[in-house]
Amino acid sequence: MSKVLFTNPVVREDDQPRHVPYGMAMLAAIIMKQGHQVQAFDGNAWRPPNMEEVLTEVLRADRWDVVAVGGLSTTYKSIRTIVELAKKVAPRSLVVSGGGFLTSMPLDIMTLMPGIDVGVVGEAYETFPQLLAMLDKGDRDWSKVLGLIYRDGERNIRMTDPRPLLQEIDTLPYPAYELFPLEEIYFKNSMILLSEESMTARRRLDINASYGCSLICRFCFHLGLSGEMVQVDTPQGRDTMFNYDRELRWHSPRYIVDMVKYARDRFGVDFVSFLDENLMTMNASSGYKWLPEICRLWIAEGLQPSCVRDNVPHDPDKCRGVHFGGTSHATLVRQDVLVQMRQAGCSYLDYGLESFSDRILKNIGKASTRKFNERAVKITMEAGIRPIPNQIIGFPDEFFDSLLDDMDAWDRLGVVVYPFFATAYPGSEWYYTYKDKILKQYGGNLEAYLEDLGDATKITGVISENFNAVELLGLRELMVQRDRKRIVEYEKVWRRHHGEPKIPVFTGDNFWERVNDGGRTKKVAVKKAVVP
Amino acid sequence: MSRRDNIDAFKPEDAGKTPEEKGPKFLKGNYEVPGAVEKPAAAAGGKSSTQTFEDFARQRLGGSIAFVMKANTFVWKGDKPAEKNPEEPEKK
Repeated sequence: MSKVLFTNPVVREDDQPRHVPYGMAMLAAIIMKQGHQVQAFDGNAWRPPNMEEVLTEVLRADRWDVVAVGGLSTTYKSIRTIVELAKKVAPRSLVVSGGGFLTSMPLDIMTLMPGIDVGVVGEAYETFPQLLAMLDKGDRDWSKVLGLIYRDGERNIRMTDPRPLLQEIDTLPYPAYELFPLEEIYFKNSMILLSEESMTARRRLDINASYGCSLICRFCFHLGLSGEMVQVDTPQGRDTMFNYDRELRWHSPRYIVDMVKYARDRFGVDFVSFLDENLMTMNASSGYKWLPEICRLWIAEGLQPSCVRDNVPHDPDKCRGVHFGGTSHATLVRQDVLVQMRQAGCSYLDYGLESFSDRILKNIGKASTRKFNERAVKITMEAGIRPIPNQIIGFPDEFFDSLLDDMDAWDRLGVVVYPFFATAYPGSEWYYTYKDKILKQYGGNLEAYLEDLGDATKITGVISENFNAVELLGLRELMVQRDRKRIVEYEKVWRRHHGEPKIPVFTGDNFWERVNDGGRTKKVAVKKAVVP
Repeated sequence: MSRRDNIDAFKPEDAGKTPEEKGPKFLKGNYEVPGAVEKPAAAAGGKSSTQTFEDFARQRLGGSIAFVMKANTFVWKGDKPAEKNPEEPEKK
């Protein structure tokens, strides 16, 4: 059996490490079950000041058959460090990479990081174990494994056919949380400022109850886990593209509640954050039965927090049970479901409201309106759950009117927010639409863009048709200060210089192009917006 | 070859040292690797009242930290019958 070293790259350096890398923990659990020997180095959790020294020590600690590393695009820089060091310090190890950063642009990543031997494109739950099984047999003919990108004998980059998504997801084990520093780091950083209960959480863990999202928000990337990933032949080679196909998968309520019970019994958790892209889209797809059944079982299995059961204020010293929070959607959320969720112990729901401008919402592809956003905030508050009203500015069609719409709604609803900037992460529709515009801002250097990407709280590649980075930064400050006067004054200045705003219209057909997908024709989002 | 030999083969400079001295720190796994785990970073504090939460969240505002003031809470009287769902999500 193989010896595998998982290395978790640093992410969100400005914040404390708060989240066990879920996919990595799941992969570790899968391969340990198969008998492989596994160690995990959580670089994000430990963040030693002498990272390279520590990493070197870790890489020298054993004869690793595989050094595995992966993460989101925002971990690009850290992953590159790990890959380069792995090739230098442990040259006999196979360096395998995966996750969103690779799946979104496998060809680019393999080109930018020559140290990666093999990349897992899309879901790794079956691909990675198969790769290890071949390694155990001494077989390195990766062309036989679906879902890989690799270098052949001549160092040419090859990609195999895509692997179908795992269907029986309840067969997955529970993530190997224990391989990550829970007591040392994560439980001490249990607090997340999303609700009173999550703020006072003592032992919080994340779980993932579903894969995918039915919506098509144009700034969003689904990691190749939503059935949206196809392959295309480009002049540079085979690559991935992403379309509007969807294949939603959700765990059974029994699996989910049993996993939470396991987390409580083994690790003593008092709070669980659902990582799901969008709990409500799964609930809607299940005929609105999934979340009610989870809540029913949650209570039946004794996970309901005692403060909720006894209708008393939450006291973290006395409360027994498990609170939770997750993700929601303004149009798909229902009042009756919120009441049931609150009864089970839900304390916050994260809403990607993004904007209170109907034009912006329509162009995003959010399937919501200002009215539905406001309704969602109200009914969530009324149910006793804190809605997290995420806002973004700097969309392609952002203009002064939409910014003022946001501010009006914030005042009506009591929203306190410091908005994100619209960011076209690799793999999203707007990444393809605005790639040229983005790269121009980085002197044509893709790697410089990848290194700059963060969690969208700071400006990176601007995709607004009307505002530049300086304007967006200034406008955000004025919005937060509710300084309508200066915003209105600046609009006059802006119009003197630019005239009328560009308001691109995004409709599905503007972005679909027919491509050949292994003999089948599929629609892929590649075309540019219509800018009048 | 034992695991200890393995490690020694890779780190001859460690020969003669105790496991704590020579073992890799920061590792967790399903088999024994010599060495102690490094001590952790500082813990976060926790408070409980709504006001404390909102004050604290306001200080740390940005990104996913955003909230709706409870003092602003209104009574939601349910969905108005006239309100229609917006268009279904665009699908292929």
